[in-house]
This record gives sequence, C-alpha cells and structure tokens, in this order.
Amino acid sequence: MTPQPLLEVRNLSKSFHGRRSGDAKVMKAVDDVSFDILPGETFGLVGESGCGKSTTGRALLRLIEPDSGSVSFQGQDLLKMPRKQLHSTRRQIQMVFQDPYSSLNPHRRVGVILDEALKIQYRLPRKQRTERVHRILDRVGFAEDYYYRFPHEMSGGQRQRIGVARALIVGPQLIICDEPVSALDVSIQSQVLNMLHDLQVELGLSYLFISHDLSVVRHISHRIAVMQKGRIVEQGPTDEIFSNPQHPYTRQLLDAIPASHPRLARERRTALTTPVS
Amino acid sequence: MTNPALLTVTDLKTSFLTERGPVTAVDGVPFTVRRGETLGIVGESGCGKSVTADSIMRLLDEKDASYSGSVELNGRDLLSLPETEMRRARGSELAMIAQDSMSSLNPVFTIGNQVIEAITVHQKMSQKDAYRLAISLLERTGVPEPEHRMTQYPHELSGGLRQRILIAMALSGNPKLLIADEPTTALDVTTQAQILTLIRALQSSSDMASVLITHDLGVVAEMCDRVIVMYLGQVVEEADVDALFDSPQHPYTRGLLASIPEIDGDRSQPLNVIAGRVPTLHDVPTGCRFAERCDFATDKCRDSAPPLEDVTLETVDMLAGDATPRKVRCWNWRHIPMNTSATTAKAIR
Repeated sequence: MTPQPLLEVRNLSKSFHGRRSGDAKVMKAVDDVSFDILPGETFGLVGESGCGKSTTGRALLRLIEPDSGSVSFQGQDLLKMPRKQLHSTRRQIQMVFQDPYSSLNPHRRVGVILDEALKIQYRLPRKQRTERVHRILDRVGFAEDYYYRFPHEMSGGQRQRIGVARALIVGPQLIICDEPVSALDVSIQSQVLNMLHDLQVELGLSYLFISHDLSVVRHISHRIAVMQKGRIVEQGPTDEIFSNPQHPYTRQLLDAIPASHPRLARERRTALTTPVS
Repeated sequence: MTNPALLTVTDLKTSFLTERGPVTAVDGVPFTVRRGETLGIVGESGCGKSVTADSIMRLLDEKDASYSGSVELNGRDLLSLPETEMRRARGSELAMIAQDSMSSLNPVFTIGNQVIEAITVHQKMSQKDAYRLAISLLERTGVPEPEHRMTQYPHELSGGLRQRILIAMALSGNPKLLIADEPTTALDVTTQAQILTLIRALQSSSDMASVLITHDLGVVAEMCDRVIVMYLGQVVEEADVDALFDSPQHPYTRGLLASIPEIDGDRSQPLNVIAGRVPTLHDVPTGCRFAERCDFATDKCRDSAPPLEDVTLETVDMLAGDATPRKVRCWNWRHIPMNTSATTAKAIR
C-alpha cells in the first residue's frame, strides 16, 4: 500500500500577460502541472531556466497566486484557504531560497533573524524562543556565539545553513528548496546537501527540491519531474529517469551533462562522430 | 614530440591595494600553454583563477593592481609591454571571452556595430569588407540568420547566442591564444554543451591554444588537455587531465573531486565535505595554505609552506609512455594512500 501523499498538486496553472492590459501575448509559466510528494520524500523538479520550476514552487505557497488547479496539503486545498489560515499552514510548509546573500536581512544578527521567523508563527515567551533558536543553531552545526553574528560575517555555505535553520525553526513537514546550492562552491555545496539529507532522515521531512543541476537533483531526490516550457514532460523514480529516460527532452538534458571523466568524454565524442555503417 | 610553448607564465604575482592593506591574489603562479593545447585552470571562488586571466590580458586597473613575474607570449613579455603595444596584442595575439555575455556587450549598440568595431580596431579594411567578414565570423560560430542578427541589440538575443557573438568577436583577429573565463557558467546545460562543442571545433580547425577557467570539473573533463588546480592564489597541482582524474595527488584536488555528485556516482554515499573554509587573503597561513582543512596535515605542514614540486618522474606511468609534467604542492603527497578518496581516508582514521 502506498502511503498517503503529503502534498497533492493537480492541474496547477499560472500565466503571465504582457505589460499592457489587453496584450495578446500570454506566457504559460506553469501549465497543467500535477505531482505528489510523499512524507519523508525528496521530489526533484528539474529543468532549464525559464521552464517554470521556480514559479511552480512559489505558486504552491501562493507567493505567486496561481490561476487554477488545486494544491492539497494533508487533505486541505491551499488555493481555497482564506489568507489567515494559509498563514498558519505555512508553519508546515517552508521555503529555502537560492541566494543566501539576499535572503537574509543584512542589518539583523543571526539570532534575531531566526527569532523573527519563530515569532511570526508562534506566540511564545522570549525565553522559550531564545532556547529554540539556540537549539536550531546547534542542529545545523553552529557554535553558540553565532547567535550574535551578522550574515556578512559568514561564508555562503554558512548563510545557506542559516536559511535552512530559519525554515526548520517553525517545525515544517515540507520544505520547498529553490536552487538551494546553486550559488555555492562545490565543496560547500556538499555540506548543505549532506545536511539536508541528514535532517530528512532525522525529522522525516519532505522536500520539493528545485534545481537546474541534474547531478545534484539525482543525488538527493527519490523521484524526479522534468519540466519544459511550463509542463512536466516526464516524472518517475530517480533511477528510472536516469537509466531509461522516455521523453526526448529528458534524453537531450541527460546527454548535455558534462562527463565525469575525460575518458568518458572522449568515448562519447568518438561515438558521436563515427558514422553508423 | 616537442611542441613549443606558446605562453610561458613564470612566477606571476598580482597584488592589490585594499583598504585593509595589500593582498596578493595570485601568488607565484607558473604554467605553460603549448600551441593548440587547452589548459584548464580550476578552483573555487576566490582562488585567483580569474585574476590570473585578467593579469595575462593586463585588464586590471594598474593604479591599484601590480604585477610581477613574467607572461611570455611567443617569447615576448606582456607584462613589460607599454600599454599601446599591449593594446595591439589584445584581440590580435590573445583574446578573451568572459562569463557574463550581457555585460560584455554594449547594450546600446547593435551586434553588427560591435562585431565590426572589433574587426576594424585591428585590421585596416573598408566597412563593406568588415561587414562581410563579420557575417562570415557569425556563420563560423553557428549564429543562425547572421544578417538579421547584425541589426539586433544584445537584449534581443539568448544567452547562448550572445556567447557565440562574443566568441566571433574574439576570433576576429585570429588570436593564437583564447582565454575563456567561465564561458558557460551562466548558460543552461544544453546550451553549455553546444558552446563547448563550438569552442572545440574552432580549436581543432586552427592551432589556437586556449586557457579555460572554470569551477566545473565536468567542463574540464570535456575540454582540457592539461589542468592546474588553484587554491588561495597558488597552484597546488598540475597534471595531464586523465592523470588528474585517475590519481589526484593533492588532498585538495582529491577533496574537490569527491565533493561533486557524479551523474553516475553512488547515491547512497554522503558526499565528501572539505571541512572549514578558505582563509581570506588578508590572513594567509604561514605554512601550507590548505593545512587547516586537510585531513593529512602534520606539524610540518602548519609550520612551513611546501613548494610546488615537480613529481613528473615519480608519478609517470611507464606503460603509458609519454611523460607529461606533473607538479604537486604538498609535503606528504607520497604518504597519502592512493585510490583513497578523502572520505574513506576519514573513515580509516
């Protein structure tokens, strides 16, 4: 028996119109998108820039208001929810953004940034909040004195761990990660990916992992959807997508990934240039 | 088979005056590039790879930046050329394409304007001939409908097309050396593959050499013949591309290779993490610059800086024949067990 999905997205659509009213140009950024995310699962959403993957992530949380469709979270449709209820549902669904430089307030100390996220969702006495902030900092691997640091005193990887901590502090079940490691160097990227994985195992979190990087998505995702021009062209278990891609676009994407070894690169080039007799 | 060196960089140092005092962003970098060869320079942000490129082209503002060492192109030291001669060399002997195609092109002029300008700066010819040459350059770099593109502005083109235009401009003076600084980093993966294929094709149809600067080891695997790995302003390893992937010697190179999720890697294993962070240039360690992040560091590593040692003879695979130069900047590279990635090394301890 398959477990009940945590999130069910059905026929989600969002179009953007040209700047002038009555402009005939309509851009279907998200076009009839449907998928499920199971508890404890990482669902990867992959595609090239402009394919609508970020808009999809934002539309789920109504950071961008979708045109139609349904987003059912634990049986409740987020798209039909009154604003107030939606606000408290965001305790369950949090977001981590791509750029750890612009998504943290440069004027606030780390402790205050985390405390603010907590205050928005829960009425707790200051002492309890502070305790919780310290616990979360410890959980994402920071020493106590980081409470008083400013974002500019930290590296990109450290900032992104604060971004994750800010999402975690309200106790979500689902985190939408929009290109969370794209701005980071590879050695730092691996720190954040490993941490996301450990948190998932420990807390049973689900992730919607949005990325253009197929190797990263493959590493972290249980299932993957490939998006092109606003539509999901293929979805399935990670290993199946990579070993047996069905859609021509998926194949095209996979073929474009640079080889992991120069010998493989040469073999592929020879295979491409040798005419089939 | 001795292919003469086209570019010989010796002990290149580039320093900047900053508010917090002078820093040396490139600190004693040596390398050579032979005719027709592609040399990769890899490293993470802040390692000095882009400053190395800018120093070869002498693009830095010489009010705050100072160079020492030498950059010999065809036997002539670019660093000691007067600016007027350097200007002539740029674009005709060596050319560069940068990462961000949008800011490399002038937004208020048409593509045609800019390509023709690039041509006529170096070659005396009529506007009509320059136009014809521009069209043929755009054709060579795979730009569809070149006549139409000439009338368009940069914002009207996709990132991939803009990068092709920049390559066309770089090729206009038939340079002997092309420096490409993260030429595909801003592009989608399918566009990246097309641009890499284009650069490769252009190179094989001439004897143009290139220096490819990238943080992406996949791009290195696809494009390069030889590689230097940089860390905090210094070269830590130099090797033939196969050797680098087969048997990385420096702990940093090993850590870097093990950090990347590979498209055919084992997904059940956690990725390697290089602990700590890169020190700042204001605070360069006295010993090995990588020591505090290294699993194999000893007291010697922390106390004294290792030289970039030529280890060609010790690492050469006798069966493979040709010895290609191999250098490592590490006191202990001989004692780090081979075929042990940094991750498993941690487990052994």
